[in-house]
Amino acid sequence: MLNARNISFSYGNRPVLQNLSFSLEKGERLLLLGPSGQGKTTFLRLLCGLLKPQRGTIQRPSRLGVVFQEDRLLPTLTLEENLCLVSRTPALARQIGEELGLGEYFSHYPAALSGGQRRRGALGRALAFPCDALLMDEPFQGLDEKSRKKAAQCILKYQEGRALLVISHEPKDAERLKARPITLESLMI
Amino acid sequence: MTSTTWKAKSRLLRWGLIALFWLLLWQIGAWRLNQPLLLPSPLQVGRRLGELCLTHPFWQSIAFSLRRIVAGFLMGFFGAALLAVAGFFLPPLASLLAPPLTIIKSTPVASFIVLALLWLPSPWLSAFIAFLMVLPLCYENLLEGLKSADPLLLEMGKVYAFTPFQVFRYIYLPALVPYALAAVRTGLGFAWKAGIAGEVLAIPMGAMGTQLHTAKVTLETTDLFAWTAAIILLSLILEKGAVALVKCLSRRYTPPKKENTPC
Repeated sequence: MLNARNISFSYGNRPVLQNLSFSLEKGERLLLLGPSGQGKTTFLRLLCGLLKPQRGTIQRPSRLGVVFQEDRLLPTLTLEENLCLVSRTPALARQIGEELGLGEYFSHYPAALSGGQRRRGALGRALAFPCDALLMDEPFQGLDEKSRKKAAQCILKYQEGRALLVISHEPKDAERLKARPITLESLMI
Repeated sequence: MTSTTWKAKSRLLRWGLIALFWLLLWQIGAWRLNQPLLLPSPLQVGRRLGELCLTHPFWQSIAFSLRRIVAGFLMGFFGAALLAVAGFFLPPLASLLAPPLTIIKSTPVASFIVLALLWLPSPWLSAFIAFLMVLPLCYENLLEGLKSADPLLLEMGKVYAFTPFQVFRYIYLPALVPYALAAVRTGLGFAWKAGIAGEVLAIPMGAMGTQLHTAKVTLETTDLFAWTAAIILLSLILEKGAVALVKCLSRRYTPPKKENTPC
């Protein structure tokens, strides 16, 4: 479903990823662990098609639901509108929002939300997007323990049948998401 | 009384006091000079403006100039918007447009007025001059606005398969609004001043600029001041009205302030 073969990427003369191969199948859940500055976000941007590898090839499904490192909610739309805009079924988008504990903030604009609420909004948007694979860069950033648990349950519920790759530096997330932990080193040949 | 009303009232009072100070200074200067031909007093000017307001030709002149200058401004603004969008998505076109627009921007308005006197019938000269003044200014502002669109949101739109309309509506348009407001505010002032200057030179029948010219020729300094006051007042009303209209139309595309929690 999502395949990367022998990809390499460098910023100028600084190599970030070298000879990396990766594959993610339908229904599979992977947790990419590692300290910051290692190239995890660059890897996710390569998988999304926002960066092009200097070597190697990437095969991806036409639609990917992505939680970026930043929330990237549209500032002129309310939280509800942000969720519904990308979804084909607004009722589902609202249901996901409710389950993420955002129901009472639907009419709020992103500028009026807390960091954690915006993060859950970005997560809800990705889950509501009809796609074959979900890529998430630190989806629990800024969430307290209770919200993390709720968000993880929501991911497990709505990910079903879709491929999931989560980037994190928290090994505990593997247990929360019932995901197989991997590292960038393990992907490099 | 809410804090907003109180703030508005105190701001109005402050501006009133400032205006009163300068009017007083003008009145004292006129008393000391005692030559209405050189400097009429604000009371004389106010009285004359009141008299003019009661005459039919005064409103006819306003309608004549307003119609043409606003038409020139609108053509300039929408022409600039079209060129800015085209230039933004086709960078070679932007490079091609840069020299003529820079020349238009740098050429003294008097040169254009003299040229336009040769090319156009005098009644429409002010519209043409307003158009020329507004076009490069609005083009630059709107192009800058398009360039200021958040690249992170553009990436998000790409990943979430936004249609070109959605990208424009949700990402480019909100970025464009503050620049469009600045363009309207500055462009309208420019168009108004340059348009009236064009009328002073072209002397079309029944224009505000022609009234200024006549007042100068007949040494009616009080009339000159009264017409100038009318031009300033109209410019202010026009600018405030246009900005309010753009703000109203673009409210849905402007990021709300933090305190505006629910929609």
